[in-house]
Amino acid sequence: MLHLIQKSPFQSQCLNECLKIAGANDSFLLMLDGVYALQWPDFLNNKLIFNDSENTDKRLQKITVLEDDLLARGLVIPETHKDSIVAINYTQFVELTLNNSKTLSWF
Amino acid sequence: MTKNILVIQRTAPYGSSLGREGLDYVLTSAAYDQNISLLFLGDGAFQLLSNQQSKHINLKNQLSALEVLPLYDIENLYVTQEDLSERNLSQSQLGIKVIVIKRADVHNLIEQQDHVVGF
Repeated sequence: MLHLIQKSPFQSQCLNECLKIAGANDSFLLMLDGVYALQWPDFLNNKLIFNDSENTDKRLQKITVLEDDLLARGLVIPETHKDSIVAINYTQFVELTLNNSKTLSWF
Repeated sequence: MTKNILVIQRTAPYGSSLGREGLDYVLTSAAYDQNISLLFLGDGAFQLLSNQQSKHINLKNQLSALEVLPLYDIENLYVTQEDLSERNLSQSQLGIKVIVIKRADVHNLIEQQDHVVGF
């Protein structure tokens, strides 16, 4: 399933609550103020999402961020996560929703 | 009569219109010759980030708007070191000149004011 993270993790419990119930194969899209998760150590260091052991390849493309929202806010994908987080456009966003049986917005 | 007014910006720039509205309040007050200071608290710190390209989401650039404040003699812009650190931000990533204070000093800053307005 796909989780759409839409609020800043510093101001909302959205992402925190999402991470508590998310499954190991779930996908995540950071959008709107959700892109500020890239500045949140608890997200970047989350073992469930960025487990470096077994499914590294499987994980690839699973954590995405909407490029327009990223650029608008003056943020970049951290150097440490260049391989694990992918910036996507709106067309790819649509594809992502089509490739997942369920989509849940967190706001 | 001139009063000391502290405006506290507590939200990131584009997720809501609060940052923009706070700035409208600041510019209006300055036009009435009030002594304005701004504190960027919590996610408000994100308003200061350089390289905001808000054209991608068709909104006005918040940093460009903040850059005009010195023209209105508003030069007391504050952010806390703790809020920057918690957000993985360094001073070099900020697009305008701000005074970095400690979180423990925020209470004093507020005490020095006649009025405080939060956005």
